[in-house]
Amino acid sequence: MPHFRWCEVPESTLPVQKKKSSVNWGGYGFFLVCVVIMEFVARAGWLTSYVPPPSQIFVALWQGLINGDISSQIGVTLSVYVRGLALATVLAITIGILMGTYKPVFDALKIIVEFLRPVPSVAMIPLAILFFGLGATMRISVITYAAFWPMLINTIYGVRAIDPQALDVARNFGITGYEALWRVTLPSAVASIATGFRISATIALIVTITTELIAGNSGIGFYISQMEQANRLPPMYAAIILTGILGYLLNTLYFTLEHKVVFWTPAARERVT
Amino acid sequence: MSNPSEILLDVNGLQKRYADGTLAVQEITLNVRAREFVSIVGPSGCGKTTLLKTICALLAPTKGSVKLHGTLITEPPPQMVLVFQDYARSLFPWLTVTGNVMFPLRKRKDMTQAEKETASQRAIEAVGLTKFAKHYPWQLSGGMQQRVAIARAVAFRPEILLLDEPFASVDALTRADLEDLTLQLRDEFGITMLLVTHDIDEAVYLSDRVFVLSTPPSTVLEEIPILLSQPRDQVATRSEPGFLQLRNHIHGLIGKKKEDNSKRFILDSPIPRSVELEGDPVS
Amino acid sequence: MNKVFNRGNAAGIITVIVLLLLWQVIAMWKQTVYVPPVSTIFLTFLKEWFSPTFGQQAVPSLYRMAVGYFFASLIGIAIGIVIGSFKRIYQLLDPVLQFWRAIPATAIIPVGILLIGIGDQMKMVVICFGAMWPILINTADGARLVPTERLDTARIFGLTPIETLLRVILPSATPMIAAGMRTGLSIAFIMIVVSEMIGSTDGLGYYILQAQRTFAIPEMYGGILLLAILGYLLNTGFVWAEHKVLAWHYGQTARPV
Repeated sequence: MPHFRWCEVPESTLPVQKKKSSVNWGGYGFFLVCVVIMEFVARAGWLTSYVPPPSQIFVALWQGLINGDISSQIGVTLSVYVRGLALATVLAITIGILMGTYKPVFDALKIIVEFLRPVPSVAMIPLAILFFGLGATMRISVITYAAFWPMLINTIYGVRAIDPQALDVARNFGITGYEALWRVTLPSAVASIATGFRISATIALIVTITTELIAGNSGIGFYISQMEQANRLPPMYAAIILTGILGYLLNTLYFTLEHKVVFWTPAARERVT
Repeated sequence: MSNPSEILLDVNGLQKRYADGTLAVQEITLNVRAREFVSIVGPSGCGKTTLLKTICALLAPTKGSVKLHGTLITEPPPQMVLVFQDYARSLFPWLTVTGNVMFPLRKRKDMTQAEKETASQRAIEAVGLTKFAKHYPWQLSGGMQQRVAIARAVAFRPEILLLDEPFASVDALTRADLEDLTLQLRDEFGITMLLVTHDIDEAVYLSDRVFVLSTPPSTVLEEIPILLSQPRDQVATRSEPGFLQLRNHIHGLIGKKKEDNSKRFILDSPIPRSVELEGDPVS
Repeated sequence: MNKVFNRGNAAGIITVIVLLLLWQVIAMWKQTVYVPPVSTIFLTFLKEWFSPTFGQQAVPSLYRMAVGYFFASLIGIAIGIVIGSFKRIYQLLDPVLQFWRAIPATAIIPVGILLIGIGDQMKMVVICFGAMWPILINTADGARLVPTERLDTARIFGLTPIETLLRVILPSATPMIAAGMRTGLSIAFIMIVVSEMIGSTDGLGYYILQAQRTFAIPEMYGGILLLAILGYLLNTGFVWAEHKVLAWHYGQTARPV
């Protein structure tokens, strides 16, 4: 194959490359300033006693992580989270591909999907308690229900939005049926599925914490409600902030994964993390 | 109305450097007389859009000055309107054609509502879109959308219209229509035109004078008066010997500079000789 | 709603009917309190919700949600537009916004209870907090993505910054604002149910949880059914309204220019 070498192109004809400092010093500085102000305001007693100074919260977080109060709960939450999310993924992708590929299946299930989708998963909590009590199974079932829908919709969309030409080309090469599904349909739909996964995963974490808050017996959410009832405020706030941190870390992880998996789509190429 | 030979727009020693240091426009000096049609021609990427935006005071020049009627401009003056190349991005999709054309008039306190409506109607008529006045821009073709942008500019009653490669995104037939449209508008409304383009034929066809720009960082290579017959006609004017002469001359000017800066491919294998891109015969 | 009864929908409706019949059969056969027959649920539903209970339980929920959502939209759009229009402000506030946005809104409820108690205000504040973020962020994004040509055009025609904000940036951003408001609506819906489950003496969330605790199982199913219907109506209503207001946007994106 012949390959080409670009000879020297003078700088002035190159597109303008702007070099900006990519670290947002001003923003982080402002954040710190806010924290410091809160510190002073809380210590001076201007704020209600229900909002402790950030330093106390930070100390409580640190201690909780070290002595295991909080860190043990993280493990519980994540374990339930992962199981619920995994189950939802398997179900959603399977049903999604079926619904996206076979119109009769789509027609049959469409109405159920339309009706069940807007039901907030939290409404299912009493139902889940009824069947599963207050343990991990109850929480997993609710998480699965919540995480199922975004991924289902995205999978269906991804499967249906396949360029018909791709399938025609495949058929030309004798690839049909099950093999076509595996080698043509699925890779094309992966971009959409990956986005759906990210959305589902985000929802799954929130639902996990919420379920623990409302009716849990373990996990970070349960810890928060326990601390609230015991009026131990710094650990309560610490746990709340921890959920934020957890959510942020997981979200970053999913974004990176999504980029790695679907690097070829124009949308991913354009996007700046 | 200004004296026909008075200098309306005076650009002197204009330089524009970007924030990161690149020099877009090195030194541009040109002027435009009232009711004139002036074109600026140059190769792609030589900062023509930046030049127009600086003339319009959307960007501040690094050096040099822009004067309108002898007064220095620092903010986009109401006597000047810029028509962008990308009409889809500059029109407002939530307004109809009439809405778009009337939009700039809302600030004018010197016109009653009835006067504003008449002005916009007249502008829409002048660009030939009366039938589509109630349509939305995105329901129209590219050429028609550009007409809407032009109508919007005309309704504002500027003294000078700056056009940034306005017909580049449009097919050849539509382009001819739009070119004649701008000439009509100049005659009908007395608006001075400053057009920027990379299309040499277009520049020669439309203009009274042409300024030729070099490759970036750009300077004015030459100022060329176009002494072809008026009124212009797409077929007749373009067949005049004078037309071809001027056109080739400008072509030569731009081509000459281009040679030093051309990109070249070198085919590594299997043909063991170099092939130059610019159409030179293969040795 | 045209062509409701075409062939495709028929298959869907049949499936639903079949499933309901299956439920009924299993319920009658198994006779367990956990799975009451569809008929019982249906009758309980009619009895409960076409009675004062609706006014006592459902209306307060809807009212709290409406107020919370209204303020969420107001604050979210107002702040979002300002943040999105001025790049420096956006950069300055970005980490703070990211911080608040990362915290799940439901985790704030205990704080709300401590600070405000378990009355209507707590729920409205919590709903507002939760629903505000997608609206704010989407508005800011919408404002940031206004094509520069439009902003330049506004300057050329001599618009003041406020006029540009209201007449150019805001209309340009409405599609993204609508997307944010839609997400915000579902969040508001979730927040009202959760806040009523955790700290309330009335409302739909409280009703359903209480029904489960007191083993009023058909009532529990009935409550969930009502929530499903309300959720569906809210969603459909929103989409309908959005298509009306953003007719220009849907027209534009439907046609390749």
